[in-house]
Amino acid sequence: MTLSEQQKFALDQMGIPIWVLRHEQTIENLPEPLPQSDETQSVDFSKAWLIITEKSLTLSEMRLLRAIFASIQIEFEEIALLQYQDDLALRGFSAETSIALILGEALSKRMALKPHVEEDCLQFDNTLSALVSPSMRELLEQPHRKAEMWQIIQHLRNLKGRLLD
Amino acid sequence: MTELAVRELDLSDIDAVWQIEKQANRFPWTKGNFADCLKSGYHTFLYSEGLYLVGYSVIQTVLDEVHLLNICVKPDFQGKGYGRQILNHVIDIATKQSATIVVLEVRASNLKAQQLYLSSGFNEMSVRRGYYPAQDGREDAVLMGLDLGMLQLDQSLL
Repeated sequence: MTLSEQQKFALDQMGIPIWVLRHEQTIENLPEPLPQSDETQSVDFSKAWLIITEKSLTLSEMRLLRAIFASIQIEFEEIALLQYQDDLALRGFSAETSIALILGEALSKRMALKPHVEEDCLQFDNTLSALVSPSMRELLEQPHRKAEMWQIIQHLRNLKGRLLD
Repeated sequence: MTELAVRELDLSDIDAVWQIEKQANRFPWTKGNFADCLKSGYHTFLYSEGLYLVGYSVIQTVLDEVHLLNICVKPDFQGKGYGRQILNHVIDIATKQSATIVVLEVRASNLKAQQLYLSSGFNEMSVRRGYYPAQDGREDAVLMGLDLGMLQLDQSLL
């Protein structure tokens, strides 16, 4: 229901606050998904955090992903987002500089991953280390899985500290 | 009212913060509690007016949820709107982090604080029985939450 200016004035006079849906402009500086393979040369392979998704994230999924990384003091500018079909771009990321998080158990099963030789995580053929987490959609639909996500994101941060820093 | 200057707390501030904590609370946090918060990477902010320390806040972020662990205004500065200013800063930080909710616990007997939270959009979520130590044993905590999906309309902009 939209309130008229007169109604808003009356509520203000009575000291009654009015609540509105928060606008989407709070989402700023979100990373663009990486370009597809024909533009792979423009990808910044030096980013330390690589997130692999099945498909483009919606605004609410993107917001959740940003909040998750903000909670471990990682700015979104430090993250590269990649869709799993882009094998060429994926191969460009090195185990020396990056660590990957795959969003979704089902997605991880479609990727060529094997157990890491030393760490409690997985590895791509090019030795890039990776962890698997619930997808953002799963977290939005099943909030009880946030406890699991919290463990994974801390594991990812610690792993990055051991392998890259 | 003067706008408070904000900076992050460091180890050298703990003594000054603890003095305020003792003045403002019957059951204060220990110095070790503040040190642990710093060590754990929690955001801890100091608010000052000129040379005077007015208050502080401590927040923990877990994924998209911000937990306000401590918010305090020095007794000399209470009743002047600084608590609301500090709370608004916390809400602003949470919003910038794309959090979806801010939660806090408040003593069931602390009606003044509850009024501040209610007027800032917080709702009562549940009660934690016997959560706080109290003079007569234990006291309940009221768990309150602010859904950041909603925003209070600023009437001054109308």
